Amino acid sequence: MNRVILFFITSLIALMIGWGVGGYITYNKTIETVGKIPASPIIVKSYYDKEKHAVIFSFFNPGTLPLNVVSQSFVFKPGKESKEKSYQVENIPVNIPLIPLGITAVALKLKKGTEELKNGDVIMATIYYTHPLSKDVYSIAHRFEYGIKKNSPSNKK
Amino acid sequence: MNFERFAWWLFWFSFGLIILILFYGLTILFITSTSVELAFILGLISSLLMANKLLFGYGSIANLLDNVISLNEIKEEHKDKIKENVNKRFIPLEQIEKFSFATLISIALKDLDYYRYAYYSVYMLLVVITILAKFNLLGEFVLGKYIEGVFWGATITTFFVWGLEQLAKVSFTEFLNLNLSEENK
Repeated sequence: MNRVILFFITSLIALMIGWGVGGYITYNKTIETVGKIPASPIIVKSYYDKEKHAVIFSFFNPGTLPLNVVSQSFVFKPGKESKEKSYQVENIPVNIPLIPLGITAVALKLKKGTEELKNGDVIMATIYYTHPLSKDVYSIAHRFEYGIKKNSPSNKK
Repeated sequence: MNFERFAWWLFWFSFGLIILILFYGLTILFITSTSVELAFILGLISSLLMANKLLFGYGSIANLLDNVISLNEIKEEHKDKIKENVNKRFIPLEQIEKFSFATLISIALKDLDYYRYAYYSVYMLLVVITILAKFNLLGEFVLGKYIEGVFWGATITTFFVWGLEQLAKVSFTEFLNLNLSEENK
């Protein structure tokens, strides 16, 4: 080994150590900062489960604190093919924790005895949740339309 | 002459200003640092205190050898410097006078080995604790991230120690390859 080789090896090790130190400090600072932000969950995916007769929502909780779903309510609006003729409104109290920085599946069970969802049926679901840092109740409204793909250009018009 | 004095004055003034700004910045950094950065700084300072002997020992040897290599001759002052290091050992002074420059340097390098092994074993212990905390093998360990900060601080010092040690040894090999003869041997 001569001085030139030593210089290159030393520089490489210095780069790696600097990377490690910077990554460590940045990671912990980011986690601390994100932890202070009260997160609001978003629904990334929703689908209808025929066997369970339930609409299942995938909740993404972007915060570092666990949220709690207190209750969920829905408004059922029959489409053209459905035999049900009236609106249905229901409010179901639940107690589901949403894991921090992850996705939780929440099932909205429809009333027993009602018919299966048909194409064009619309469910307006409202989900109420609480945050551990406050006593307020927050809500998310989600429109679920069965049979028609979301975000399709023909759907918007 | 006048211009030279002015230039020196300017140099010392700017040097003092830089030192002042540096202290100001460091103070601000220390006051506003998060707990994680504080752990890092404390780890750095404590490991620097521990490795003090190694850093100055290897640093002075590397510096001395660099001087000898660039001058291409061994002067009396070079020998005096390394004698100061070796003198602290229980070797009679008459015997030290007989030793050649290369022997004195290898004795000085050997002397630092005790400190080096002690430092590296403490560092390895810290590495093991950090890995255990990192993989949650110590259970729900709240202090894990602070121990990691101390580890990163100590890693920087270890890097300096390792680099200076390698530099001293590489310089020693280069010095031996020069085959310099001493006058009063």
